[in-house]
Amino acid sequence: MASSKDLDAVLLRRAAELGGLKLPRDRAEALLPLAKALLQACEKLEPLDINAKGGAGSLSPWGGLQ
Amino acid sequence: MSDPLFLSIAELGSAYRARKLSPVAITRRCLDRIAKLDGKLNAFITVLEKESLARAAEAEKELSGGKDLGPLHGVPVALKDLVAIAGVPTTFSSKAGSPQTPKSDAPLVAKLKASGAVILGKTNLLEYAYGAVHRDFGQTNNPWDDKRTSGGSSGGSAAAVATGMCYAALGTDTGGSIRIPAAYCGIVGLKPTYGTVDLTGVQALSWSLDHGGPLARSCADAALFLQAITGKTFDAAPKDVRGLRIGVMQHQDEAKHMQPGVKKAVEGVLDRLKKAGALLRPVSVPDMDLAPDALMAILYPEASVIHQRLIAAEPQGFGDTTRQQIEAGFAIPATAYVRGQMLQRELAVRFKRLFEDVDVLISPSVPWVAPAEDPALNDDSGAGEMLYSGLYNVLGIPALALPAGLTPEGLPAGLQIATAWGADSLAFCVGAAIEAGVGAFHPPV
Repeated sequence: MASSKDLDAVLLRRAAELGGLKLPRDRAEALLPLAKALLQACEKLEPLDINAKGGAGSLSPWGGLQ
Repeated sequence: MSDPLFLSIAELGSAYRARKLSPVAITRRCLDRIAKLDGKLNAFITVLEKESLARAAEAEKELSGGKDLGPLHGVPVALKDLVAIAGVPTTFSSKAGSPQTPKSDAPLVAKLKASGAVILGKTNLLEYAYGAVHRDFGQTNNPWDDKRTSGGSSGGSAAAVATGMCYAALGTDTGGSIRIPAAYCGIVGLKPTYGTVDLTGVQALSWSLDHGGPLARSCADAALFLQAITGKTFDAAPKDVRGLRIGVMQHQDEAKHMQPGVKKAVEGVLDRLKKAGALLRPVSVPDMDLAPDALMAILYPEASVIHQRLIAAEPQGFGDTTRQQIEAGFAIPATAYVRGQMLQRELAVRFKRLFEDVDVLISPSVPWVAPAEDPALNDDSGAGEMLYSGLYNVLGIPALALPAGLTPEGLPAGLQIATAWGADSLAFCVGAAIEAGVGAFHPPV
């Protein structure tokens, strides 16, 4: 998947199709600003290094609190 | 007796049992109120006039015959129009996949009916609870200023409760959809602990983040409604706050969004709590301000999967914004979804530690008063609107919105109380203590 900076309508169509939705080109173009904003939000999570060291097992929801 | 439409549920129940008021007369008055106000407010999609009067007559007969089903017996309530009531059309405020007429009740509706409540009808919402008005259904206007929104997505339920059209209503909340309209309309709304309300038969938006809960005019009323839809017991007796450890939430972007009138109202409540003996301290948790990003990374793909068949079959039935949001969710990378879930779990661990040092967390519900329209989910104003609420959907902890007072322009400002998982009653009890200081107020309609 491209970064939000590189995302264009062609890449967005491919990504959506991989996700399970065929998008006409005009729809993909209309969606670009929203898709870029969403990817930017997702990119903020990338630097986090949490529970990623292996051995966490199958976590129950809420960190096993319930 | 004050206006019967604004009695508490306990007061109404006492009046029923003393035969000073009757379920039929009260239901009739609620229906009249809906007829009078709803042209302006647009809170209801379906009004069940005949059915509600018949149920009220039944309740009246039962109560007079000594059959008492409990606090909600004969009490008019409403439900957000995304929950299944047998034989009643559900629109989801959309033209896609709508209307649907279910054959059976959602479990929470079955429980509500068994409690004797009178279901007046189904209330307006943002389309599929996904952040935008469908133009065919229109915005629910705010009872304090009908040029403003009641908020979303449970705006119809909030406006109906605030104006005395009903005594309590069901909302759902995935990023603030109970608490935001509660704040804008000057009422109480609880997003309970995740999983407290069985959402079978309720249209999902995001399995990981969806919650069902009450909107009411007081903590006590909200607790009674929550009891009725869950079958569990909740306490809402005002708490003595002496020694109560309160964490005052400190978010990064507060200053950018906060309106002075809201800040002042919330600070006024905090000041009263301090004077009453509560122990206040500012708190924040590392990475908590990334919760809205985690929420988006989880919400969008889940909503897209939920609506996958419908968006392929009836894309034109959705409003433009909802359609775009559903389409965009298909392009979220799986790795982002997983990172969102990882942060969700890590924050849960960090907040569990925080709740060893504090009993409750307090913040505004929303940094501003009701705007003219609901902001878009993804822009800066959408982030501002969910600044305080979205975190608690990610965590799954109880979060109660209640009025903090009125701003100088005469609009409600909302306060939010969050507690540890399962401590929903503590939120109600602290809320009830705050209510006593704020006092009751009703919109000028």
